[in-house]
Amino acid sequence: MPTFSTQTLFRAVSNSTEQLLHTAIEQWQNTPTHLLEQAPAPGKWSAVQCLHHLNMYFAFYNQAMRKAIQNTSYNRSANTFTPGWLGGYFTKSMLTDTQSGLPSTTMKSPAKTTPVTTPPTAEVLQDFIEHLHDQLQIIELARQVNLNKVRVPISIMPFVKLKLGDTLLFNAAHQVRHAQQLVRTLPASYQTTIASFRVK
Amino acid sequence: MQVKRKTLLTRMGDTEKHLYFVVEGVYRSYYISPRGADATLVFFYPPSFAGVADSFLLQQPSRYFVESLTAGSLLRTNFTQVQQLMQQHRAFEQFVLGAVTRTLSGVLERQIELQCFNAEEKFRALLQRSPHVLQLIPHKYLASYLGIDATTFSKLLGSIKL
Repeated sequence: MPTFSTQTLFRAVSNSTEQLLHTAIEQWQNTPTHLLEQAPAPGKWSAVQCLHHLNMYFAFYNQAMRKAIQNTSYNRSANTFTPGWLGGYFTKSMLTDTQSGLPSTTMKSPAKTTPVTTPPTAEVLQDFIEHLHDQLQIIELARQVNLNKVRVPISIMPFVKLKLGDTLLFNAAHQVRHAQQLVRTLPASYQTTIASFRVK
Repeated sequence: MQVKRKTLLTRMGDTEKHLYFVVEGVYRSYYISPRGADATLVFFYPPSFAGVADSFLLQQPSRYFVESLTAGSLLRTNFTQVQQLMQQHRAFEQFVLGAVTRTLSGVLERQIELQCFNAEEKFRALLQRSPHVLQLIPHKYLASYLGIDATTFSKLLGSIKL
């Protein structure tokens, strides 16, 4: 991925977070619980399992990003951001088609974040909303530091650190991917469109 | 003034300098207990005044936080201006007295509901007064406002919808 402005990055990530918050509060909170808990097909995740999976990533990344921002000496924002090769690859692999919202390839989630037992649905949903609120605050904090220089570990291999900009991007893309998956588990009358993640 | 979602307007410990009027958006005031529990006190949405009334009028440190729950816009004035207006215009002072009295009446009514109503009664009262809040406000804050837990809230919502 080429270099682009940090304004563009923040706009993409903020808009994505806003969209998910709006949908979770207006729609999913008011969707009958049994619909959120039903598996669309044997072996496929239910809506609440998608949310629980995302919550596990939030739990790791929100505190990891806060810590990295707090401890950095790169306290000047940069005008542009250049994705790293691994970060850019992660983000790209999370993207879904803008027309259909479908992933181009299916990926298996790491065993650690594959939902086994899920907490009560109401709790998972409210935690999801809180995590999104938290992410909004982290985006504001990130505006004050250099997205190219601050590094954040990845959950699957903590000794690997990616640029903060990439962390924000691939997390947003990942969230949208699973949100679109979630929408497909619901009956047609409950489906609201989630726009595919793009940086533009 | 315009605000983004989840903007803090007033912090606990600060003396409230401003009186707000909500033009657009939803806001809440909340208390954080020493143990870290978050209790929602009241929601503000158009058209109403917002802020921390006792801290503002008494010019004492606020015990509560006020934040936006959505993006929005507010009108804002400050204590000096309000004080001046009250001193110069009896009608304005009476307006403030009227607003405070109505607020007090509402708070007493709410106290009765919290003490005497069961979870379902409180839930139904909320739905009767303001059904639109279900789609505007995270249910966790609504549950906290009613003094019930999120799972009970969700169950009640499910039973009503059926």
